[in-house]
Amino acid sequence: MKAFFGLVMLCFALTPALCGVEGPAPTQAVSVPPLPFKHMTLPNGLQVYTVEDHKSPTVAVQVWYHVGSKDDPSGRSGFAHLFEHMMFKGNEHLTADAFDDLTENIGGENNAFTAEDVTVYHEVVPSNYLDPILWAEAERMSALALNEQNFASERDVVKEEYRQRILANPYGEFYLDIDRKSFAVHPYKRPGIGNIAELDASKLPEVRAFHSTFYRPDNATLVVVGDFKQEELDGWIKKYFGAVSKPAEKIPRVTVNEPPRKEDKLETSYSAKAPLAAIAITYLAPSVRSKDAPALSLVEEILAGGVSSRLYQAMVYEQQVAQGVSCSADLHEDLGLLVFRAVLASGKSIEIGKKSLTDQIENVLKNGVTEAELAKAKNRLLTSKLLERETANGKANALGEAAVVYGDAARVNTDLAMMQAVTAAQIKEVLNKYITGKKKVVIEYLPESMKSARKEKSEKKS
Amino acid sequence: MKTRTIFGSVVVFFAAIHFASAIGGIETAPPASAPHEITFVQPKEARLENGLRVIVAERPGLPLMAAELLVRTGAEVDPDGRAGAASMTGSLLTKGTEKMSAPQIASAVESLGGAIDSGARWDASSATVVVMSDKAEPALSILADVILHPAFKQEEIDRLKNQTLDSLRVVLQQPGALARFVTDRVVYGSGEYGHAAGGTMETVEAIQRDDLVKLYKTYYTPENATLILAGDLTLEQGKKYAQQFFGDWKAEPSASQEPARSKAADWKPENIVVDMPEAGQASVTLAQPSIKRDSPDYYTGLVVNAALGTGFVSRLNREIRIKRGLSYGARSAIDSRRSGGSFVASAQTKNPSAAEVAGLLQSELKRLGTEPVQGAELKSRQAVLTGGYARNLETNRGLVAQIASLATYDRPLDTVNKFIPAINAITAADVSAFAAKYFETPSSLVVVGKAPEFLDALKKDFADVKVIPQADLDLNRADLVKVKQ
Repeated sequence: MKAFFGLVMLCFALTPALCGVEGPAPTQAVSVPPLPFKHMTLPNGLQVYTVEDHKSPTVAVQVWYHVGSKDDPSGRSGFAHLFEHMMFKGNEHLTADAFDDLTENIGGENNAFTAEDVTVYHEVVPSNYLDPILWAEAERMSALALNEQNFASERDVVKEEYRQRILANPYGEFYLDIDRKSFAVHPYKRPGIGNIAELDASKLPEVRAFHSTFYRPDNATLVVVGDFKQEELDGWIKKYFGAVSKPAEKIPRVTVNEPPRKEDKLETSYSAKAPLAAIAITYLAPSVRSKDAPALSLVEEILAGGVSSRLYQAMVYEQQVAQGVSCSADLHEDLGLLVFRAVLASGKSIEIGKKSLTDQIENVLKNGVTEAELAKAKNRLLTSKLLERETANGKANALGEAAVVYGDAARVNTDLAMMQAVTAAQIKEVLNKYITGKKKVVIEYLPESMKSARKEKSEKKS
Repeated sequence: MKTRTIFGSVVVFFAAIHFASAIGGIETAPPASAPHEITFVQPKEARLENGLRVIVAERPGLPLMAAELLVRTGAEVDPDGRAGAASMTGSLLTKGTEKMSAPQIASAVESLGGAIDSGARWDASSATVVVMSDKAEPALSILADVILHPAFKQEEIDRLKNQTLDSLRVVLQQPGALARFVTDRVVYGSGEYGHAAGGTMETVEAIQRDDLVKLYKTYYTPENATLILAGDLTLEQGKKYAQQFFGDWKAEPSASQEPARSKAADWKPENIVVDMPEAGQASVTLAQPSIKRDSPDYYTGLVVNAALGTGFVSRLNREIRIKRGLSYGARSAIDSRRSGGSFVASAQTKNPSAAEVAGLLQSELKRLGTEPVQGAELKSRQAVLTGGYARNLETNRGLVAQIASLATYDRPLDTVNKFIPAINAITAADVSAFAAKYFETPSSLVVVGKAPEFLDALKKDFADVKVIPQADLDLNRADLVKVKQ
């Protein structure tokens, strides 16, 4: 809903899993058909990727701006996301209802999300509405209607979004803590959803400045997938987007380098809302553009993807120390994090949970993974890519992400081959590369009731 | 002043804009061209000798297959005091069979690149699997094994109970989730849909293996089941698979007796506040009983509901989100089931605005009667429904879910292509008649949040507010209050 994304909510606590018993994994018989995309660059710098596909009489349109929550101005955590909401307010030619009139009200849909590196506006419309929706996207790229009234009201909506995602969720603060505590200096440490104080401090002229700084054709990528005629589409794109001027100023980029960690860190906090203890262990990981990225996506699958994954099998199924587990390689444009998380089962101490998680990590570092585990992970990733490509919107997502975040649209078709080529030895090597000898951050998020229990324990010791 | 019009903001903006030339020289949206017709593949069906219905939606293209084995009975048959039993029965199917352990089932399906899932909802239970179509046979073989030969091992029951209890501990700390538990009780009381489908802390503890085995033996029969397949396969292949994997499923003499339940005829609205001291937001809900799935008013209900609370520009979101910034999103739903239904409108807001949001939900519900849904608004709400329907059916999983719903409620399969015309045939008069018929009765109000921050304001507009401290809440009772020991 003009929604913020990039926050993984409680999903991981519900991920089932079991592992250990290995069935023979079958060999590949099907493959993901390549996306036959076309590319053009307009004179004003706009990148355009299109895929003609007449499977259903709809078309997906996405505009990817290369600006994300890492570009939030100083003291304005949450600004890029707040700005995203303001992109729906129309302009001199676009009414405030224009996007809903051209999508929802004629049977389509629209939304947007703000991630660390990008902000994406996406629509699916009946294909006879392609011409007007392209015009409208070009219009809001060129100028916005902003006034104190619509700004204050939309800021209230974003504050409610913050309350719903963070304050009304027993683990909301835990998710924010993972980035906050894991990065030392890189702006990835600041939560994209922001906080009430910095949202309140944001001012209208800052919104105008943000538009003119980042919302420009040479910082944008248009993706169109679906039921259109190529020549007609290209004509509309040139007519509407070609009319948006390119500013002379350079686009500012984040240049902060996250230094290697010098020491392990333990961060503990307590919550009155959380009924179960939670723990995260994080390591710095490479950019999503790194050649290690495909191996790391397989690591996610092997360790915590599905019911038969290692962490779930050991911690949730066999030992029953955890209620849910996850492993994610959260890779962004500049760098990433390798995050192991567990929400513990009730009655389990944080020490037992931490030891169980650490044992699993050490085991895989020492012994690597089996061929069967690897084959299973490849099959699962392949299926998920096929499922993504059932819809025009799914295809557009894949293409946009490759073009903008990975910096290479061709990766939409080449990543799967790279992933298929990864060996078990490479999995072990890549895990050791980012963990062995590297410093970890451990984040503990504990129910208030554990505070007094811990205090008593330490008093007895001293 | 709190209200403002969209026009007002645009006028103010004229002074502020710094860039005036229209894109492509066009100042208003260029017109749409002629619409393209949309039709969906017509599902075909067959029946095995043991009574199992088989439905196949042939959809070549991507090499995928989605499958669901549907049992037309769900959480509504949970025994008294055993809420969650049907859900647990469904979940345990994939947690071990006579031949395979839980880890073996998971590993086998995931090695195929797929995922297997099972459980129960209202009016139905199911097991589903999605795989690449060249792996249909091994996947369906496992699906059949979990349906025909579940083990219900005590060890797995205990494990699932502990996991369910921990999930409940987390869920019950969220105002929105807790409000949904309370709302079911407020709408259905002690009726068949009043208890928590997934159980409560107390009922999950109380469930015994015998409860689960009894539910399984009574309802998991081929006559009460449907196998639904969609994707890159033909009806002939589907029939062959069904016979191969489910042909040995024995038809049992059907002796199932629906438990007698109280009816909703004596329903009375009430206003309930659950005081949750740690609530980071208040969840505000209006609710009342509504139409059943076989009601002739079903499609009108969908249109009325879409006007009120589906999408960004529905009436609730216009008033609550867009005009006043009071919530990240408001919504409403009519949930029509086999023998009952509910209407629910809700939004989450900061605790101090709970009373204002409650008033807005109520006034918008009234306005459905006084300001009819007609003209452009009616047309747009029909488009929201038909467009959303078409998008859902784009994926094999979405198509299977739609067919499962039709099979659950005995609707003919050609309904797949009748949904869009049925929605488009609804008139403004139909909508007004629906509002008059069903929304004359006041709704119940449920607010879960930090009561001291909104209670005084709420009491000004809502009479007889019953405040239940979170610690005194008993979801197992129709009156929701723990009996004092």
